[in-house]
Amino acid sequence: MSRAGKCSPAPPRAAERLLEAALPRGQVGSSIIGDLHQEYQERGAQSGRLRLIAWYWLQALALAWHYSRRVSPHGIPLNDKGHEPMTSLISDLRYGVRMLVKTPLVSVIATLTIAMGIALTVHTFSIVYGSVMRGLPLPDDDRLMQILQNDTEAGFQGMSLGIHDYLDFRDQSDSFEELGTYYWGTVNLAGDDQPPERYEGAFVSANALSLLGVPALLGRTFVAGEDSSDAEPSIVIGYAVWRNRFGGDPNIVGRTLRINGETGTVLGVMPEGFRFPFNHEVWIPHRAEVDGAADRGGGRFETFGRLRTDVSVEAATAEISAITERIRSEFPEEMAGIESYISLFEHRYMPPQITAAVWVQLVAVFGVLMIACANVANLLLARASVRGREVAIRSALGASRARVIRQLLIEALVLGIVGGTIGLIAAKIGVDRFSAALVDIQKPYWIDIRVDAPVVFFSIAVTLLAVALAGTLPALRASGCGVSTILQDESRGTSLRMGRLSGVLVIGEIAISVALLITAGLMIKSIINVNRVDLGFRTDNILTARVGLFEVDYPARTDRESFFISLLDRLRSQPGIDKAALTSHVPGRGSMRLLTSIEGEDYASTSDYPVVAATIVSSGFFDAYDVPILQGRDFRPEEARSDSDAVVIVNESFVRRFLPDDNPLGQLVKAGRVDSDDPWMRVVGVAADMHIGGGVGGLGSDRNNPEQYYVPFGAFDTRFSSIVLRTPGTPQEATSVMRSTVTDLDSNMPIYEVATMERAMEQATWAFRVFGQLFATLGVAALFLASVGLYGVMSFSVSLRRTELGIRMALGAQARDLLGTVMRKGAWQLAIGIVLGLGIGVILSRPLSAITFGVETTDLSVYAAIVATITVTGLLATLLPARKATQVDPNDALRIE
Amino acid sequence: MGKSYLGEFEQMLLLAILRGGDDAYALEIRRELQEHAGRRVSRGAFYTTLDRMQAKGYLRWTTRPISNARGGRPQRHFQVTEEGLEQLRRAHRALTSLWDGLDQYLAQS
Repeated sequence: MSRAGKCSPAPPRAAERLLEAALPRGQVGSSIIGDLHQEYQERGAQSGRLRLIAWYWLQALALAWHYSRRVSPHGIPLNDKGHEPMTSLISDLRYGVRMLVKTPLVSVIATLTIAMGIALTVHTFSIVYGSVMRGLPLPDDDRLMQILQNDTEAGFQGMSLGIHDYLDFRDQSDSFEELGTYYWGTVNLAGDDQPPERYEGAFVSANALSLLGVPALLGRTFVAGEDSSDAEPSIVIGYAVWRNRFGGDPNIVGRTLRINGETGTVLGVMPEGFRFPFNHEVWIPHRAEVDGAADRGGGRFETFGRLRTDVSVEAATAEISAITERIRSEFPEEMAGIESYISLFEHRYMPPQITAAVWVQLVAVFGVLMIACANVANLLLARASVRGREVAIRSALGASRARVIRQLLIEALVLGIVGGTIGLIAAKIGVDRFSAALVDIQKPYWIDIRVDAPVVFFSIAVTLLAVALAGTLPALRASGCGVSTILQDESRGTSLRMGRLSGVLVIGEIAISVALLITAGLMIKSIINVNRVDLGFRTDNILTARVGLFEVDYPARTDRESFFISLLDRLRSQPGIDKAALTSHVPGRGSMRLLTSIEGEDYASTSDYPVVAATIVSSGFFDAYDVPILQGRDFRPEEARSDSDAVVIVNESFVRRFLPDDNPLGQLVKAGRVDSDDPWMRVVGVAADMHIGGGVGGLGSDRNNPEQYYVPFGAFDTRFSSIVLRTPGTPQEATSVMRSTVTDLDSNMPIYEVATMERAMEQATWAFRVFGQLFATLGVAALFLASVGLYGVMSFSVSLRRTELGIRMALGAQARDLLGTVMRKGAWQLAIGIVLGLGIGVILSRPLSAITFGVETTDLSVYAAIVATITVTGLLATLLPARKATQVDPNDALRIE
Repeated sequence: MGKSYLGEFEQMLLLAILRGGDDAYALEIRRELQEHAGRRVSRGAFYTTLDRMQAKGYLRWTTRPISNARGGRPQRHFQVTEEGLEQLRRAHRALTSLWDGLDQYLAQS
């Protein structure tokens, strides 16, 4: 049959290689290539060489194409009609599902691991997105800035501006489209058919609402002139107030109401969701008196505006500084030590420390996700090497490398889709619960934590990322090994290489979980410290609420004093009330911070004066909170009048720091500079320390100075006060008595911010609890996943080494030696992981210092506890498989091979 | 329900193998198909059909010693199995019984 001459050249080698790759391996493929070779030789006698080569290539390509399409992922040729693989993707998917069902335990563990990673990631992302990424629901919110000041002499930072500074900036600055201003207050509404009610209100400049670019839903916002001191009172109400108080009355605009005791007109209703600047419900013009006098006193105003598009933050800062210098040259004394700067508006209410903590959390959660992916990768790796023979056979039957990779990736994708869906559902439940926990916490109105479209898109992206992370490595590994290597010796070639890869993944997992556990440990220790902190006062059986007097109703200072004195008298005579007191600041909710002088001290400059926490309290305040007066006496009721002697009660820390040598009683203290007009106040008592807090997280920085003094209502003029009631029973029961006592005195006056003291303290410490729980969850999840990962990898590597261990046993190795051999490997991975993790942990925990309490971020006890925990867990995860290794029966082990 | 019948191409392939006797190898089978049925079939479809029919048990193959003309590659020689023959007979019976009494149409051609 071989008519061809022996001299005929061989077919092109490259085409033959293509055929070798594409055709089924073994005699079938080889014989087909042989047939083609034979035909080539036969044709060679008749055709020119070029035509011959072209012919061969055409045949080779056609065959390769045919076989690449016509071979199922299993490597089995399909029929001519080719309907098994509908272009093979669906069949791959089906096959993937079938493979996953075939190894249910591995699949369930892998799916749940992915679900856990994705749930935590999506949950954290929802928080990050809702709190710091989504931003304000205002046009061009990234250009909405505020102007703030630091007083370098007195040591105050982030102050709002005096009204004169605001006016100067408004008139002289070109960097902003417009500058508006506001300050916080509460607004009492009455004069309709409803009982009076007090709302969170912003006292704004006439342009404040219009410059934000949000038009009123009904009516209009303020126009120029309506904020002047002689303008008629007016109000713009929020959507919720309109719906709830006025039943959505379409004719609300133009109605007259009693607004903080004055008759004024409703000008408009703002749209739903608008609660600028923080969480405000109504807006009224500030109607501040701005006299042109040289005195730059007066209240302080938050100043904000949108940066012009052609002005950079740097240019605006330079301009603001230049204007400040100009003002300083005119008023050197008032502006001494004052620096002005601009910052993003939302940073006013979302302090950078909190933002940093939130971002750390997102980094942390990606760590957890990576651990989860590493675990799944390890599981798939383990399975891939067990399936090495299957993959090799498929390759031999003609499945290309790309096909095999695709098949393994699709299996990971199936895991990812199922895990991602479970994860998203779990995250949704978690986010809903998280939002519910935050519902009565004072937070900026734009913080809205929910699972919405961007979050869902993010979850899809994360799922795909997880699939890529978890699936690619095993797929590349499994398909990359030479077919013959696997077929010849399954247990060596692939498995050893995969073992090394698993080892690296496990070290990474341990490192990440150590780092996460450190952040978790710091936060847990903070929570413990917060709960353990000796507040120095009772919180049980105490009800608190707030009242505010209108200037129109109580124009003179004596009127206000009389109101508070009679309020206290009446409260004390009510049944069901054990003790009653008034205070400017409920403990846990901060205090005033005042520049303070001690008689006999020398203060060379403003910066030498201490800034001390001060609170206005009535007589009986310490008694109500069960705080002992250690020396001297409590205030007397008559000291609530401004014409009484100036007296002060200081706390123990104050004495320790400022009056350490002398008997503190009788010493003189002044709220202000030595040379100011403020009166010297005589110390009449020393009270035990109270943890009154303030600042981020409520209890404030533990590094805040605990020195504190208390002045009677007579010392400062105030229109606002908190009521503190000690009750024999449940404090809430006293609410109606409190309300009726107040309205008996003034029927237009509501009480607001009603809360038990325990609830008030909870609100004050929410940041620790919320962040603490989140970080703790992440840390525990990381520990759990890493342990499972370590266990999985160790037991897999032991199972691969069965033969070797069996031989060793047969050769006389002791169980103890084998245990040591296996444990050593795990211990090394553990040690490297821990060292790496400690390094990452130090870096990761640094931004947390703002939200930790009583813990340095380098707290050795936390680090030691974490190292101990992970070592014990890690060794346990190694020990169990290692023990299995020592129970290998040499006979069995060798027989398997 | 009876088993389905061999497809047209499958029948042709088995008949071509039978015509090749004991020595039916791929090139020869292809030539037979072309000569007697005028059927030019793509190489890929040809081989995959052979393999599928082998998988169904209708044919088997053996290899012969390697010759130089084939670049040192083996050559497969195909034989129809008893089951393959039975399938051919079934198909033939069915067709003859359908043609029975329709001779006038046969004569027309």
